[in-house]
Amino acid sequence: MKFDKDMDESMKLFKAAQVGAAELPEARRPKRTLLVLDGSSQDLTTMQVGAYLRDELGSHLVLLDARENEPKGDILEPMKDFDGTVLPPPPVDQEGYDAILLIAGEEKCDLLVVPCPYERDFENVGADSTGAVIDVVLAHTTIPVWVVRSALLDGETICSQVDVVINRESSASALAAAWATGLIQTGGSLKLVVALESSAYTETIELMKKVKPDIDIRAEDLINALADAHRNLHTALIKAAGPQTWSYLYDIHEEPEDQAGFPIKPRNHTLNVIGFDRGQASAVNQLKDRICRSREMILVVPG
Amino acid sequence: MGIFVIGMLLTFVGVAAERFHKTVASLAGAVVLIGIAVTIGLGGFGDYGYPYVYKILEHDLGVLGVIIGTGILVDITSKSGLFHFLGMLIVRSTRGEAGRLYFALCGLTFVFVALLTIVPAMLILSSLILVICRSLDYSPKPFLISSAICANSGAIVTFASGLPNIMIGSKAEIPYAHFLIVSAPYAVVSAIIAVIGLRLAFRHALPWKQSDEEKQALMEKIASFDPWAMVTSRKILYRSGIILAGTVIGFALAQPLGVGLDFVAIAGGVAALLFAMKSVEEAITKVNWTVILFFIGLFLVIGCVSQTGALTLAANQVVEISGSTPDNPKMLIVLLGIFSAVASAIVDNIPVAATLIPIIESIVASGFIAEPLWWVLILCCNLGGNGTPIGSISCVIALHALYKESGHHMGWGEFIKLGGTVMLIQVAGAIAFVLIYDAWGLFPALSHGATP
Repeated sequence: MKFDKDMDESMKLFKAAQVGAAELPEARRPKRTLLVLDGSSQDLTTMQVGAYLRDELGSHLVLLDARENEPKGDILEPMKDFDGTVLPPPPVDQEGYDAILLIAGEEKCDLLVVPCPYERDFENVGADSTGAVIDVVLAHTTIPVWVVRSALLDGETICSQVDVVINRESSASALAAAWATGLIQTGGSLKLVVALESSAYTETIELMKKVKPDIDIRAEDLINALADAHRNLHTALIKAAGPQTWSYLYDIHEEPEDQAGFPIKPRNHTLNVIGFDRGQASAVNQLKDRICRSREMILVVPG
Repeated sequence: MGIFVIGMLLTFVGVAAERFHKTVASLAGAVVLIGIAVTIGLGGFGDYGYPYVYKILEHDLGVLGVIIGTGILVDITSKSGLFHFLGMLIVRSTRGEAGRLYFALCGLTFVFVALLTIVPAMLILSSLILVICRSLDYSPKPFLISSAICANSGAIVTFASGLPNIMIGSKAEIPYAHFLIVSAPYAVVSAIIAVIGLRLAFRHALPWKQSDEEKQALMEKIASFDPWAMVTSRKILYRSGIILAGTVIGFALAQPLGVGLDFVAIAGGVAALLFAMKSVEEAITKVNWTVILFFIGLFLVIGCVSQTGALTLAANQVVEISGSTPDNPKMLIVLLGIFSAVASAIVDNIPVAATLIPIIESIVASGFIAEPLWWVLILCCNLGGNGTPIGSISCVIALHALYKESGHHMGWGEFIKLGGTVMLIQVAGAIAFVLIYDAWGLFPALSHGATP
């Protein structure tokens, strides 16, 4: 019957409403943040992030000044009356990633702000590499890592736009959302993005079709399945949004294969929050690829 | 004249028969009859030639404008999740109890059809019923059938609630507000008749009395549904609601403002495209172009037949059979009511309305009061759809959903016992309603074709 498709879509929508109790995890805010300076052009942005975390969210800042050269200008300029902890550079024979992880543990930090690429300017390395430091930090961290990629442009502000990005199943998605709601500015714009990159499934679908030629499965089905799996999170976020908190948008889309090369849709500087299950090689590769291709800040929340 | 009447009847058979797509049938009929009309120089075609086709259609452009505008608006509003959200909200408030759920779904159907027209409303309600019944372990049959029958009551509430209303209202120049005075009250009455009748008929089909434990279990199940889960954007949800409300108000104010209802409908559709839609291409594609083409074909077929004088002849015959005079039109009202209801039970009510419109115009031109004739047509050709399983698209959708879900094929006999009985009472009530309104002078006068 000609109405079958419309009826099926309508039924799918009603079925999707069966989410159970949709409660948002309590918003997470950092109590102690480790800021890492490496002498690159990302340092100014790192300090701007620190200023926001201290002034808006009351976080105590621990500053690891790992710059090798003489400081250019007053790095503490963005942050008036710095009252945090300033740590000296690590020993020269200690690797950057070891120093960061060690200090984060000793100082009992619950958030790391790390420039990427480490000790290199973003404009020089670009989308080619994330660098060893961030790779190792992400592999071993148990606390969220705020990856700083490039300088803010004129008019861009910290955390006025925050995207919670879901591009695969992850046990850390709800926690990522909790951090996003904790960090976003009041009156900011929070978006839940459910996006599947075509490289994540094209080969799998082709293999499935070889096994079962009559199988009818499309990218749209996979994206909708991913969205349905996170419907509870979406419901909790849309109910929590409001004029006193933040505005909310929901975006489900497929990211095309030729999305290689960067940047990924640059906009007013957005903080992309991604839940991350360590130990999954495909998840690690996907995350590194995303960091490579983004000039925007990424908050990686380990599960 | 005979060829054109036969051509029109064959077109109607083609429209009614499932073998042909009704749009193809109506356009084919139009092509053939126009070809003959131009060839023999029938009526206006003799004076103007082929361009007379445009003269026939120009009177109906308003109807097409309303269909296009409301089609865009309804599609965008539905996509915003507004009606899914409201439906789920109302269903949750019933706590899943059979009785409350039953009356809530009947009421929801009535309101949604009044706002959205039958097809989009029935698709939403049918899918809601199936999902909820699966979850609560109820038989969907009583809900689906009752919803389908209440839908035809909802279809007479406003000018824009159903396509026959749009056609008749446009032709007779019935202001939107008049529907709220005349047909809306009877719509409520007919819905109550339906609900009472069907509640009696389905008294063994649902667990109307439930224990406290059962109610608690139902409440827990229904609480697992969250209406907000279906909403992708609050902004678009609110905007859709505001634009829809604005359009409905615009319809009511169209006449005082001196604009046509098609203008209001298109303005509403444009506002929805501007403020409440991501993909303009998708929204415009979703306009029911098959219905629009169907109408164009139908108007041309009727237009050609009108040129022969056949419909005027039919009008005279109808008056003669009824034995009515302009001073005493009662039997004419009864006859028209019965004929339009029975015809609508058998074929689509759109060709019934399309055929009876020029006949009523001829009758009015001969001196009869217009208002009771138009209103009995509006009421009866909508309610007649309850008579058979194919009488109304709401019944077709509901029965198909029931078959797909449970494999239960409801036969004509079973349906006519339910729907036919309800229809008889509703139509009798409608005719009585019109006669009373006429006797007491309660019909608001129309600006033309009014009481002489």
